[in-house]
Amino acid sequence: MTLVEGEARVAPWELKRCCLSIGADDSEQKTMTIPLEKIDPYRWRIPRRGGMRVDGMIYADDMLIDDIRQDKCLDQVANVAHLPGIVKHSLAMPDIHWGYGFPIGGVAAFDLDDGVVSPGGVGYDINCGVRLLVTSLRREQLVDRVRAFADALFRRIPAGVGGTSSAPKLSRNELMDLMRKGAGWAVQRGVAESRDLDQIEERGCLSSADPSQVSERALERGRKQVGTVGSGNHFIEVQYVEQVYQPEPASRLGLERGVVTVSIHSGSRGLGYQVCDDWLREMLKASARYGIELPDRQLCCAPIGSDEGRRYLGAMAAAANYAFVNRAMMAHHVREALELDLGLAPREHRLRTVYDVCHNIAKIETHEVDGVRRKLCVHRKGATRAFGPGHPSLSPGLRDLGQPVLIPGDMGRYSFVLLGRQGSEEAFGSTCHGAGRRLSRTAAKKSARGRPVVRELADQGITVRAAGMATVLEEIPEAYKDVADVVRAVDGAGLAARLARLRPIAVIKG
Amino acid sequence: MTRGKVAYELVEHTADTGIVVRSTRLEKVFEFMASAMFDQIVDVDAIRVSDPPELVRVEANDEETLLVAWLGELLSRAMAAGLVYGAFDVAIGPVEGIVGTVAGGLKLIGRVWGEPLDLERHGFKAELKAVTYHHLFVGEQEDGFVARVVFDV
Repeated sequence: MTLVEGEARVAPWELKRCCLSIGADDSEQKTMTIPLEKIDPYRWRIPRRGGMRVDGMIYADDMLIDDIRQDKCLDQVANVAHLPGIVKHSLAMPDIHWGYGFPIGGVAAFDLDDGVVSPGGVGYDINCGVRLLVTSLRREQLVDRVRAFADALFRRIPAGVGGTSSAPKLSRNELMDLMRKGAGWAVQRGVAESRDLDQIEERGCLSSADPSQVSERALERGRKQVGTVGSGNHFIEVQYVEQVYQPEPASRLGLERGVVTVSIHSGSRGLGYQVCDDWLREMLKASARYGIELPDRQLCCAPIGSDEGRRYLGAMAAAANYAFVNRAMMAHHVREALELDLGLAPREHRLRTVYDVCHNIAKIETHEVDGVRRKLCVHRKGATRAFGPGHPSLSPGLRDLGQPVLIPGDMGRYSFVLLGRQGSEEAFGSTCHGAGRRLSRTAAKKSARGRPVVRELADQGITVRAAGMATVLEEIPEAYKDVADVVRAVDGAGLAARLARLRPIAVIKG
Repeated sequence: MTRGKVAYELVEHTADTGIVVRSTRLEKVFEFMASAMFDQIVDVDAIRVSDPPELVRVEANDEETLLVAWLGELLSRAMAAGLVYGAFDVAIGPVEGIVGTVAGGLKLIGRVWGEPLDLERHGFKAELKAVTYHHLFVGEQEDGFVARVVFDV
């Protein structure tokens, strides 16, 4: 093709010359040595240096920190500490691993007056999170029908690339209404129960949502994806309660040993990815406009109180509400599968929501810092809110227990339910969000090549249904840290306490 | 024009997918990266292309942000419309200012060919969430141009 007449085909500008190899053996990829000081058995400090405004702090034990040191994520903890208005520490949870911009497993709180909000500190999948459902069915009652249940879930919940719902495309007005109301929209539509709202972080609705800040492209991407799981590390998992650590609170949440549960891990789908993408471009300009120096462009940001900051937070909250509805809709499909495909009456399965958490989000919350209560913008990217007992944000039924925290593991081992502890206040009410990867996707695929991964899992009693095998290979159990190690570290650090362990029996992957 | 699968390197990245492409021409680097991106989602050789192409125009301050803008536009268009693209033709030049001057910044004018996503025929691999600015690199080496992009998976 030709350009407009008169323009040169050869680029007339100077490109930087690069002497480095930037391929797979890239020397630039090697981890820089980040100094680490051990504070106690579960805490490590990256001392402030250079442009860092605060120390970094990592929650991990001796074993986990060895893995963490091999990854570039510590550089990212240090990078986040450069951002204006960061309060106290740039934090990382024991499942930390190398992400883009912020590390995955990172928590950072910013002062409302002189701090920033960064779309990269939330991630593309805004309000990616987990919903845990519990039934009254015992594992033995389902054992002959696990495959049928997995087939039904796979059929009812679209998975994989561009997965679109079988439901009619939402109109623009319906989508705007959905983004304003969050999970309450699903209740109005009769696909969720109002009692579920007490079991969702923020009751499933960020009231600061401003759908007018969501682009037309994002709306288009969102109109057909409500109730779809996606791909990558997202999943629907059928499990049973294998171990209970705190019988009384577990019983109150319906988590008796041997009962069947269903976990849903997904977020705001294409709508959220587009919101993040749109706003990163805006924030790159804003960072330059406000003179914010960035150690990594993916950390681009704007002052929280600026026009850009406020508008991003409105768009982000709208996408977060979309994610709450997405998980509510998938929970509805789980109910349909139990009733319409397995023929179980509501009184036979008694499906209900244990809790629904966000683990990619930025929220304005009040926390005590050095004895003073301050309003902060808390970014959790691959980290979960874990408010302890007595926190006023928890619904009355949960206030004496602490917030349930849902920590998926890998698809071959187990997942955990925790309860937030008051000690989490040190981490702005946060804890880990999962096992954390230890192998890259390419390394995982190499390790799995030629192996009958689905058969291996079937031999362990786990049925797998997947839209594509590539994702299954990338998500093999050994690609992840042992989530039990991660959970032991947050328990040891006083952030959250183990409540129950769930063993998978069927996994639906995108 | 670049059509079908091209040579690219996958870069180790713990959670996401990094890709490196090389060419003696900058425009080809942009075309190759687009092909490599769609090859993460489906088998790009299975995509049938026919006229008319779609036109794409993006602008940015430098080559690196221009590459993200180009790839982001393709990924977002494709996912919104349920399409996959298998052929790409790119031209890059400065953004025109007042006659005879350069306003600063770069523009890319591209033509892309694709078809509706057909999971059976195209063979689903993975969903890419986005094109990131993390570890982004576009530069010139002794033997040509090279680019690295990390995609959120």
